[in-house]
Amino acid sequence: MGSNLSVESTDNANEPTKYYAGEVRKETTSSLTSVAIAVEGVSLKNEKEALACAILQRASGSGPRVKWGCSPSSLQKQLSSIAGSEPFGLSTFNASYTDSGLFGVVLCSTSNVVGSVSGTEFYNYNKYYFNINFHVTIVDKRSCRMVEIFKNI
Amino acid sequence: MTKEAAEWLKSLKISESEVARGKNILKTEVLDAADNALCLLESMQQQALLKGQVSSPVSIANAIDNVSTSDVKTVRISII
Repeated sequence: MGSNLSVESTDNANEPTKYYAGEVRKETTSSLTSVAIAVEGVSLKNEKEALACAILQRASGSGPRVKWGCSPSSLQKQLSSIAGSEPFGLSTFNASYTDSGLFGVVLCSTSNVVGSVSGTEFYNYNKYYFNINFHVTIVDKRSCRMVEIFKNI
Repeated sequence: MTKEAAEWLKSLKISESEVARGKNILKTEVLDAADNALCLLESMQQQALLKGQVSSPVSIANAIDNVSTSDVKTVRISII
C-alpha cells in the first residue's frame, strides 16, 4: 500500500531553526492570569550545556515534589512573598532540540499580582512572551528570530 | 511579579544546594525512565538519531554529576 505514495527518500539538509521574539495572547474568562516568559535556550549539540540547562530548570522550580508540599526553590519563595495571600503557581520549563532550545518560566496568579510586563526595560531584552490569559500586556517590539518548535505549555 | 521573574531570567541566581537538588531530580528522571522498557527504547532511538551514539543511563547520570555549579549558573540562554 505504501508503494503508491510518491515519497522521495533523499536526505534534505535541515535548516537550523531561527529564533524570533514575539507575543501570543489569549483571552479567557478565568479570574487567574497565566504568563509565560521564554528565551532561546540551549540546543542538544553541546551535551554538557544541555544537561546544565536541564539541571537549572529543575533546580529553579518545577513545583513541589511531594503532594501538598512546598517547592524549596528561592525563586518560588521570592515570588510567593510578592503574591501574598493570593493563589500563586510557578514553574520553569526547558525544551532542548538539536538546533535550538526554549527556556522559560510560567507564572499563574490573579492579574493584579502578576502585573504587566509592559515597560521600557523590556525593550532591552530579546524575549518571547506568551500571554495566556488577558489582563497582561506584553511588549517586545525588538524583532529577533523565531522558534518554530513552540509547544503547548 | 512578571518583572521579578524576568529579572531572575536575566540573573539566573541559584544556590549550590538548589543545583544539587536539580541534579538529583534530573538523575531520578533519567534512571526512572531506564526502568521502563518502552521509555528506554525510545530514548535509545532518539539518541541514535540525534546524537549518533547511545549512552547508557548510568553514564548519563554520571555526566549529570560532573556538571559543576558554575556550569549551571553560566548557562548561555540568550537574554540579550
